[in-house]
Amino acid sequence: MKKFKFLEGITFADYAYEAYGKNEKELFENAAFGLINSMVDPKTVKSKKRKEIKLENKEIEKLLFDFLEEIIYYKDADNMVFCSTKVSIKKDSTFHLIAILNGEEIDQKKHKLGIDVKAVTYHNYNVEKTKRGWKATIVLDV
Amino acid sequence: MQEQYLKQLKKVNEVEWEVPTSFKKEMRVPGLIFATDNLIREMDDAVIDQLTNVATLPGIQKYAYCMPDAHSGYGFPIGGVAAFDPKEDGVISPGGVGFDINCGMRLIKTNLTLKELQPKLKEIVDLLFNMVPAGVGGKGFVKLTRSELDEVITKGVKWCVNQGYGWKDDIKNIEAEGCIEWADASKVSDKAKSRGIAQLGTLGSGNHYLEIQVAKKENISDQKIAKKLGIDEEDQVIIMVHCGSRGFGHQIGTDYLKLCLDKMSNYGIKILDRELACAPFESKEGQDYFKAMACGANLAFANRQVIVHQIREAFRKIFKQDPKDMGMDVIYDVAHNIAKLEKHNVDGKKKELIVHRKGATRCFGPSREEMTGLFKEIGQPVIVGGSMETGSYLLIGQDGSEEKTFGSTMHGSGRTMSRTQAKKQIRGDKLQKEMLQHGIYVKAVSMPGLAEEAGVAYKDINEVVDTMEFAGVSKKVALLKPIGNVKG
Repeated sequence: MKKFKFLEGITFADYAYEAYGKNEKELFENAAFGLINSMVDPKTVKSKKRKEIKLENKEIEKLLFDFLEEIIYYKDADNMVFCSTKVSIKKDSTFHLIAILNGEEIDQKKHKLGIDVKAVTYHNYNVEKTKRGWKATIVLDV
Repeated sequence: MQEQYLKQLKKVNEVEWEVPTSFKKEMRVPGLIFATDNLIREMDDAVIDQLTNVATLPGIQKYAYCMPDAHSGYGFPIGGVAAFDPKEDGVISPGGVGFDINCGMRLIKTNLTLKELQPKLKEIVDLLFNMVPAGVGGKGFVKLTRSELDEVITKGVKWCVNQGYGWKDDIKNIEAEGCIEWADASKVSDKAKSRGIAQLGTLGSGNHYLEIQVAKKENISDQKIAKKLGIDEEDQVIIMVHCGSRGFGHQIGTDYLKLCLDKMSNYGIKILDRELACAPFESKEGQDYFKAMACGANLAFANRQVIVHQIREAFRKIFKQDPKDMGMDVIYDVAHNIAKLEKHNVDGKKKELIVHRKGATRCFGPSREEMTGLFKEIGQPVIVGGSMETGSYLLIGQDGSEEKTFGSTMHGSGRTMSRTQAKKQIRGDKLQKEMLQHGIYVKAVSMPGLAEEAGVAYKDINEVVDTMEFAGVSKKVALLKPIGNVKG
């Protein structure tokens, strides 16, 4: 299964992509991978520092939104980009997420950089369970 | 735009198209698009959908407007203008401002000519690239503590000038004198502050840039006004900066979008797109956003101010002259993503409205009370950023603009091709070489990012600017041609 693909025809000035996964965990990892790929070529990033993200939400859609937003936050607040993401999601009355992200501080000379993502948007934002698994449609403001 | 949409528009005159309220049953007012026949055909269909969604918001006055550079965005179209009356439950919407609060333009002049600058073009662009960080991970040189950041976001440019990052005279040539007074730092989250604290003096990426341009005599449309604004030499070198409030403003936008989504139902507001999330202007949420947005705007004014300081220092190093002796004064600085309280006439009544401009620039004529000093005489300058290949414009606001568009005009030339499409068609390194052959030296952090900003991805800026001149809203002063560019 493809991890994600950039979409055309949804947005003019921004980035749109679809992320896929056979379950919620994989969907979240691949959605993170799509976001990271907009900002940097992850193959040029080494695993030197790790960040742990803990979130919870009753709605899976909102949980993914908040999770992606955290990755954007670390890009600005800690000047970090990532090369790998491991997610675990547990569900009781609400969804609980723990994610471990590995990466390093941005080095403009070393990293092959893409675009500075400003925000995740609700434009065409959608998370759904399909026959083949999970799919999220995400538009980033860049 | 597809024929089926075009058929539903009413052509008012050569450059105005009305979208009647029959287009969507929830519309409270019609839409009004400014465009030539050609530009309206070039506009994407989603613009109409987004514009008519805006027309459904509570308290909207007269029309939901679309400028000729418009393209679809999220929630509001980019190039959208909408004014709401707080007394009629009018709303404020973070999506109507955009995540990049006070993304805007600044223009500074020099008394150097192209002939004087040309031999040092590469040297100066390379130095600017080092001194004005751009792209993902660009960190500013100003180190701020949390309490200093609070001062920056409440005082804006005044803080910068007090710290030595600029001249006292810069202040009068900035919209709102570079400080929006109703800013309240307590309305901004810690997250926003953490994202912004290390980014003062950075450009960002996307369509943000720092550009060295030339004002050729043949490209000056209004010599009298150009001269008053300090452009009066043959082949005069001008510098343009386009950037906004960086991660700080982006986080404020995100925080308040989510807050409005959560609280909207308390006020019985229904919206057709989640990015249109809003709150009544008079509500707690509405007021809190207004005050936080002002912090974002002040940070953006300060950001452009620190960048101008760095530009002056770079010129000092290369030309071994005092920037004051090189006449490096601010011509103007203006926001194109902002919401402001302004007095306007609606059906013969003077009303105080909350005017949203998202990818649109205020363009008041000389008679508006906000205009002071030179601008009381000539009107408000408007800086329109074109693509890095084709050139940009300096315009002047007209008195007729208030009646036509709540005193608003375009902000750029407007995209006509998506970023993904541009990257497929164009290679950044090839474009960089071609631009050099055309006399434009570009330094960019990201080559794919450069490809996305190619001239072919944008509309014809001349047609866009002429549209609003024909409408009597803004008038051409000078076309500025690029020779050097720093990009993220």
